[in-house]
Amino acid sequence: MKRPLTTVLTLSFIALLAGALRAQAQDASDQTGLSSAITTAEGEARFVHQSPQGPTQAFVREYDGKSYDVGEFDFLLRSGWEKALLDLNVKDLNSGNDSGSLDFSLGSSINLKGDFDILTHRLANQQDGMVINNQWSPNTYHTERSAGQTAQDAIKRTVQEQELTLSLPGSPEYRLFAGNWLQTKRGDRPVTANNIVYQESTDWFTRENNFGIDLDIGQHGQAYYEFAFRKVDDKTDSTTIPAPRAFAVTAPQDVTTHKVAFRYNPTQSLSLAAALSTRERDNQSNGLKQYNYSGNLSASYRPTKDLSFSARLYEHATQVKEQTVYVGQVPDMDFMFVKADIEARYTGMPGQTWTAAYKPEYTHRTNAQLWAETFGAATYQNVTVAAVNSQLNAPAGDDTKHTFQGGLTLALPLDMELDLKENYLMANRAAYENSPTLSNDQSVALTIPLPERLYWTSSLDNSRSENQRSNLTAFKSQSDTIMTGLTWSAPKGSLSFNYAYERGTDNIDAWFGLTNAARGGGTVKNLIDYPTAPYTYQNNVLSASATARPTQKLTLNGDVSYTDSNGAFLISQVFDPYFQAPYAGQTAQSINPTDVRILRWGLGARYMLTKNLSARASFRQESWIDRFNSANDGRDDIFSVGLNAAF
Amino acid sequence: MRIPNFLFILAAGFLGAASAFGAETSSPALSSGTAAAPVAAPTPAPALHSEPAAPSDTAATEVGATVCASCHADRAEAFKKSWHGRKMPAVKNLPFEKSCESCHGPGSRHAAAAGDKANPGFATTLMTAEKNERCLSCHNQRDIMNWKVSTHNQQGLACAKCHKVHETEGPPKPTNEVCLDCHKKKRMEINLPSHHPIIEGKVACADCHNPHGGDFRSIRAESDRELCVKCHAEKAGPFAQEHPPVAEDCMICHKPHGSINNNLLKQSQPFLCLTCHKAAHSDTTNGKNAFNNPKGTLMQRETCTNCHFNIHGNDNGKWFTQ
Repeated sequence: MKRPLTTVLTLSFIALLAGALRAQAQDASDQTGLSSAITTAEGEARFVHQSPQGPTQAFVREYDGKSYDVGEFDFLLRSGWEKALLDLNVKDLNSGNDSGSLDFSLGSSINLKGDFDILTHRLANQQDGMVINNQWSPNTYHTERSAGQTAQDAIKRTVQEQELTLSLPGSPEYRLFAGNWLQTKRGDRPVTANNIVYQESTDWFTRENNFGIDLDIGQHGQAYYEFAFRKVDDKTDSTTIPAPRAFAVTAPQDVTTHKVAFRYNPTQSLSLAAALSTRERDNQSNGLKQYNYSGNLSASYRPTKDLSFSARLYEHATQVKEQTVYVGQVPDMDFMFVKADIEARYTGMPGQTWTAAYKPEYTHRTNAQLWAETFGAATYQNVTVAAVNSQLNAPAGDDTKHTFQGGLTLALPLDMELDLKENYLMANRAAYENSPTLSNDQSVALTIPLPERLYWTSSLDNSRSENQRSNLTAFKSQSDTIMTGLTWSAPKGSLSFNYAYERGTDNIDAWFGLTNAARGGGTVKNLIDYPTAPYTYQNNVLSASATARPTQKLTLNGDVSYTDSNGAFLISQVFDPYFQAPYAGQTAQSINPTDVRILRWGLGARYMLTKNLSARASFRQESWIDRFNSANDGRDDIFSVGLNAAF
Repeated sequence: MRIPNFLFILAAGFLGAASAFGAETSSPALSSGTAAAPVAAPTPAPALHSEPAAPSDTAATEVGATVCASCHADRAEAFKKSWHGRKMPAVKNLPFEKSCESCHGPGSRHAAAAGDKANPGFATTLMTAEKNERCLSCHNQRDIMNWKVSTHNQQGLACAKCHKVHETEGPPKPTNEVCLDCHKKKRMEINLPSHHPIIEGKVACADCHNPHGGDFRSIRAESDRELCVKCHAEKAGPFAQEHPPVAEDCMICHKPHGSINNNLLKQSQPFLCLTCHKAAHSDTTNGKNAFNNPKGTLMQRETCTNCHFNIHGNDNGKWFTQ
């Protein structure tokens, strides 16, 4: 994908802009004689060569919009005068990942900010499958598109934002602000429907315009009001491949928001803040309206220099106004939750910091019981008998949670620091089957300063949670995480190293319908009850980065990250004769497993040719290896050389 | 629009009252736009929207930045080019000569003692909260308004822990690395196979989180769901056929920072779905005889959303299959 024309045009534009700005800055300085005028400008041109390998590169290049053999450009301008300030920064122009920002201030009265960002999101064809007899077996009921087809699927997301603030004289001082936020998502993406993977064109558009006023309340407070209108539109045509099909949900919306917020500090030790907002979302395609009402009241109080308290009361409610043309199976669920938290922090004992918090939470849902699935009677191979409708999975109509937190930071000899934390949650019932009624998390962290500006940190997290009141799935979850890191920083270089290991298991009571089950007398017989069906996962993540300045002219940098992840729904207890052809007679180990290794590393060097001119070179490699499904494998090498000039 | 309009009126009244209150209490000296002289902090909170409030030090007098630069030459040179150093004259009408002492306080005793760190002592003797007050005297508007009731403030975090006051040349937006230095588990999560493009530099922590304290919580929306649907608007609905957890909180099924599983799911399918729909397609739910479907059993279909593809909601049929 070569783009010589855009390359030349962009290069010309940058050169012209740089020259003009440099001349203008010089003129301004000459004419006004402003000794404090500061203007620095920097431009960089790079040649980037990319050589992807592998069937799709879709995973390894998921967020990489870079093209093959193109020129990329950066430009930076920083100016400051006695009455104005301008910062302009554009990066990676012509790469497919272009971005930029602008900040302009004229005295204290006008501030204009803006930025844009382009993201190319390649969407991998997410092939599903099972591991049978220890071999990957793609889903045989699934019609995939070829790897070559899906390699071209990508959505280009463009976001741009501008905000203008006018500070107006007066008493009290107040400011008017107005903003514009625009997001577009255009391109093609794979969409699966009825076991067929389609390619769907996407052209989504969201714009939000907001304006408001914020003002001072005396010397110690502030308030602002903001109105925002968001327009969401779907301009997608009906193109889908392989067959036209109107399965995509189009959701044009008008969203209107009013928000008012204030803060007031009556004394230096007491601070108060509050906010209220309403949001109305009008779905233009079905006429349904959703109303959100949110409120927040926060306070912090520091009676002594060693003791501080904070408290918060937060409410959020959602209500859907339905209409008769579009009727779901049951009415939409409305809900309201109220959360509070109270926290204290005490540093009065030498070398110790104590924290304690209590966080109650109440949620009310209307129509929750209507969402229960109904269950027929069943008997299982392990002689479990379930009467008709004896078990439900309805969300809780009301649930209350209480969370208690405690923490202690201890200063140890040799400037070491030990951090202990405990988080304990109790709920009277689970909001959903996979929500815990009991959860207990602990963490221990140790920081050790070593000689020669080295810091070593390590921590151990442990988490256990369980739905103890489940009448259906008995969801349980547990995880352990070990993390360690080393940092070093000195004038001639820096080093950062981090490693994390995480493992976890979630368990549920799952039932499986099977081909040899039989129905008799209103009861389904011979099903499998799998009371501890596990989902297990492990992650090893290592990352490191370093910079070095061996001489005043040479800077070297490097980074590496390595991820080794595996996770799967293990089903080893399920085997013949429960599979139909083509799996009949075989044993399955897992469904939809992930077992990948991702390596990302890069090296770069910058050499100062003159005071204002430097040369850069870098190499990056990213690779993705899927131990089960090699169709996902990919590797990408990116080499770039560039010249950087400061004006 | 009934209630939003009502709130609009309420907001207008609130702002009107606040404005009147502000007019009564604001200091004439501060609103005149003249430079405020260093004062002995007669009010409990620092001045707003004037020059930064200089700390009290009755015994010391201002010496000017040139004197400071005679010892701290490198820092002064870097500061001149920095965002802070360029913004002070441009926006605060504060010449470079006054810039050091506008935050650090009068430096005559410090200079006379050839570097006595206790005087003005900004870096050595002030508590974190006192240092932060210096920053908050200017940086106190909308996005930073809630700092004092924020989690980071409650944990005793100093502004300078994340912001390089003297050196940062561009707008002072800390990189993700600053956040990840403390939030180490997030560093692991953003490196997992499915992740938001954080390591690719296309999403910043501060795009979703307000580290200075949001109006409602630490995120930049009134709820988790509203935060997600700003970008993922097609999931917002409201739909005639809603999936309750989708309507309530995206985090019931997704891990926003990163996951082993496709689409940031907490567990792979079908396990994730079975955590609530235990007996799906087992012939015991709703009287269906799904397991005799010629396309195979639930397990052989492997991923629930192959059929229930509109799992975030739809308008035209049951079970999100249309």
